[in-house]
Amino acid sequence: MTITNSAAKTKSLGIYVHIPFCVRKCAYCDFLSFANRDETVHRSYACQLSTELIGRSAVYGNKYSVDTIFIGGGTPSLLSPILIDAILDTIYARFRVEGDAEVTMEVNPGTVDGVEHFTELRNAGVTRLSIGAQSFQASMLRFLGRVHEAADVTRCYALAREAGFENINLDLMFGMPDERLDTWKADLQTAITLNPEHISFYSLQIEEETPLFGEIMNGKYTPLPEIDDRLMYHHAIEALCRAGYVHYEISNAARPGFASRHNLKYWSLDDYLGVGLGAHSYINGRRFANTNIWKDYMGADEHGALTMWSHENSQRDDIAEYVFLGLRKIEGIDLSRFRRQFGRDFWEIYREETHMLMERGLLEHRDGILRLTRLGLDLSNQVFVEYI
Amino acid sequence: MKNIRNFSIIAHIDHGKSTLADRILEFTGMVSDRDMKEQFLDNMDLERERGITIKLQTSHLTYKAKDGNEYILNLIDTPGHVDFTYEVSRSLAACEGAVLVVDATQGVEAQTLANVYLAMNENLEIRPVLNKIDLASADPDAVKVEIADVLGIEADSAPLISAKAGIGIEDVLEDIVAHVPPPSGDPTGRLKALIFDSYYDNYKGVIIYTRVFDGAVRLGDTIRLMNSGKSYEATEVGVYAPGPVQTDRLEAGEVGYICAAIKQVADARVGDTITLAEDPATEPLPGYKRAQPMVYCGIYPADGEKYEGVKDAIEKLQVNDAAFHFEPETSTALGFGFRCGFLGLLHMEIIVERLEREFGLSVITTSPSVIYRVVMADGTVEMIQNPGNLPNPLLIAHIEEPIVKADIMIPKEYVGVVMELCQDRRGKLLHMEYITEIRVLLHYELPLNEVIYDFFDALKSKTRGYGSLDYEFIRYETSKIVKLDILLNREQVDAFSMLVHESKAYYRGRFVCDTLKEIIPRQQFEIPIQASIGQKVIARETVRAYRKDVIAKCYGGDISRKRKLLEKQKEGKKRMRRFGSVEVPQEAFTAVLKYDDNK
Repeated sequence: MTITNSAAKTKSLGIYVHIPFCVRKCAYCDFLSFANRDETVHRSYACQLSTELIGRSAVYGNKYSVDTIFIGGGTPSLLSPILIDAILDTIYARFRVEGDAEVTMEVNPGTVDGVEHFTELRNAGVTRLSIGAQSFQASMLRFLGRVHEAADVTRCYALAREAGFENINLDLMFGMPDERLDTWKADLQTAITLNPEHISFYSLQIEEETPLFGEIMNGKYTPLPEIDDRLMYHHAIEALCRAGYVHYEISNAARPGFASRHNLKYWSLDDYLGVGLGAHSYINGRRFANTNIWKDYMGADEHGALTMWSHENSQRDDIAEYVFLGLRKIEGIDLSRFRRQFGRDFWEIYREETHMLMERGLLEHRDGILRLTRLGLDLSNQVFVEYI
Repeated sequence: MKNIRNFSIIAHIDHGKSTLADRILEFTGMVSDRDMKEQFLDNMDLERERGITIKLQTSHLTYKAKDGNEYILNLIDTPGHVDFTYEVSRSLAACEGAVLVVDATQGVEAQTLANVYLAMNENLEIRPVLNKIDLASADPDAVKVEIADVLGIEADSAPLISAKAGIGIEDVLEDIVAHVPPPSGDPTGRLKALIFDSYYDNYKGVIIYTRVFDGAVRLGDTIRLMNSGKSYEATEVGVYAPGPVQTDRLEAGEVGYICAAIKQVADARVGDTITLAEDPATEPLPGYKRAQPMVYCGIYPADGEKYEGVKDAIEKLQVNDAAFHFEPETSTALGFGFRCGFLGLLHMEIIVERLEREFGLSVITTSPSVIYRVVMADGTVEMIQNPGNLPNPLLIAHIEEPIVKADIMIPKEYVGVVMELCQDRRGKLLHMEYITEIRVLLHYELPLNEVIYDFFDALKSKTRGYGSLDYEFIRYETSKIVKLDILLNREQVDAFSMLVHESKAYYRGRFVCDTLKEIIPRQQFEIPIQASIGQKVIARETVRAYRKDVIAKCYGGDISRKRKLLEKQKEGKKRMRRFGSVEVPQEAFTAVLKYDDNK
């Protein structure tokens, strides 16, 4: 019976694997990735990932059981499925992975050529795909600098289904300059018609240090008026709910039971380990990030100093993050759970701020649950700043 | 007494006065190289940063001249800005001579003139010195001619020096010894000593810098300040060499310091005369003036709760600055604060910067104002320096504003743009004189309220830094002054109100509305910004409401980055002041004071 006891004691863990390669950088993207299609580079990076995983497993392997894995990027689908298989093998060998673990991989529709690709991924252990569709409009895809065409999305989606994937997310973007509400509606309808289990719908963010930012600054593009962006957002929520999806996070909706278990960890202050170049972790009350310098990362051995920075969260940090991340979830935060988790009364800490936000119509409180209102969804940063 | 030389150094800003003072200290061995900070005499950080002397310093030096005699040189430093003319004049009054430093690459400037006139008023022997002689662009012969032509001072034998490179320092000292007359005075007469500076020391109280003209002052004497009428016991007398060195007495002709447990410098006002309480002089020395602020503004703690901190700091600064006035004031917008009076805009900037730098406070200053003379319908007169106190316009017969006489010296190619600038600032040209073939002196009358905003900056930028300015108050003049109010979300924010000339009200109102529109962040609702005179709205802008403020995507668990974004946003919120339901960043208060002509 000791086995059961120890199993009950282990905490669950998500593992994020970062693949920093792309065919080319998209105009709006400021994530850490390089345009690199050289398979030998891919292979040595995958080896380095395994080295890191082995090192990390020595510290965390016994204390946690892994229930989600997320292979993101960059463009993980640029890697040969053999390498994905090797990476997952390392995880399965070194960590305790639960039988029903959610194993997601991001896929760029322009990088997959046949059903075999997906079959191999399935055989490697991937259970969920997140397809970066972004748009079904050629003009928008061009604007975003995507490598795929609209037709690739449907083709890619069909191949994934054919290979037997039963849990698929489509990533969509809206709020691009010159985008019209009717084309966005059409995009959504196309996505809904495909009937994926999960749809993400992100409002375009113009990040500094991206080509797009420069083009906006020099007047090549004018950002879409906020009011139009919000019309698109509100329409998305309505259309998705009407189609039977559950809107469960600011930018995410899913069929019942298909919310992204991995992403929910981020919003619920659960533990996750990030491996790979520049990857972020939150484990055991500590946030840390790997080096984002390629040479340093590639040069580290399993005991190597990979860490770029590390921060031991105070309880106050944890509380702030629990609240501002938790409020991203549409269900909001349960204040009695808050008390159980932190041993403190929410209202004692945040009475004034919360009342002010409720007066401004951004938050609502009902039956011990605090959540964003519809207006609060549009202005969520205004809410979050009050809690940090 | 015959071996004492009391002298000042006068110059236009940047002509090298402080550097020469440093070299003289070095040369006479008073400061070792190791202790030598750049420009020793300017001992406030702020002064060193701006390269101007604000607070006076003085030094007692010994110099063995080539004639074999040892001389005592009292170097009395003077502040170098138009705001401090009175203080300069009192320092000069303590001397027999002045070393006039002229930049050999620049020639005579407006402040050179102003300072020379001050020195002439005190009948000083003026000894020209040509500085920066080592620079390629130096033209000493032309500058000598200019000094003779413009100032009427013979400069053929003027020492040619480079204070920076240490060239010619001894020549300057020899020139002083040979030509500056020794002090005269009656060592046995009744004590008459001039206060030419004072500052507050935490341990000793006020330290008075003084020049004794007649009689002597000894440790333990009961001294009386003739203009304030107050008496104190001298607890310490001595000289600065340049650190304090105690002596038992200071007598006629000498320069030194006195401590007498005086609590604030306002009680030992520059220009006052020290005498002995037992056997007082019959007449004080001439030239005493009460400190008269010319510019006022409100100073408020940026964080309303720091009122006590600001109060403490302001009191401490005032202890050391007789020309700085303050009284408590309340603003509906900004809460509790102070109405403060300054000699001029630079003086104001210095005080505000010291509050922020030395005391670590964050303050909001309101629009600076001159003092208006408001003549009421019933014939009574009110002096108003706070827009909020302007009486009901129906009860006012007329308003008068202060006018200054401004001397502006510029190279002739800038005459056009400077005249345009003065015209725009409601200036009246009195006359224009050619100082030399290429340099022009413009004599203007300008309303002081046009000078205090950014006139000096505008002059500098329009003349590529070559223009120089000196001004003094001459009289009050009837003028069409109106009160311009700013309304945010239809509520008047008193801190933005200002008194302006009718002809400027529209532009000013437009400018403030435009500026606030840029600087006030969008909020959950639309915010109208209006400028009005009475009930009449003369300008209007709107800050549109925000509709979206989200971080749509949370990437790869990088919470720290998102948190940083939010923290930055929060930091911005902290610097906001709330007026009703509108949040206004602190920068707004300074931004509306800057008036950019090019906009």
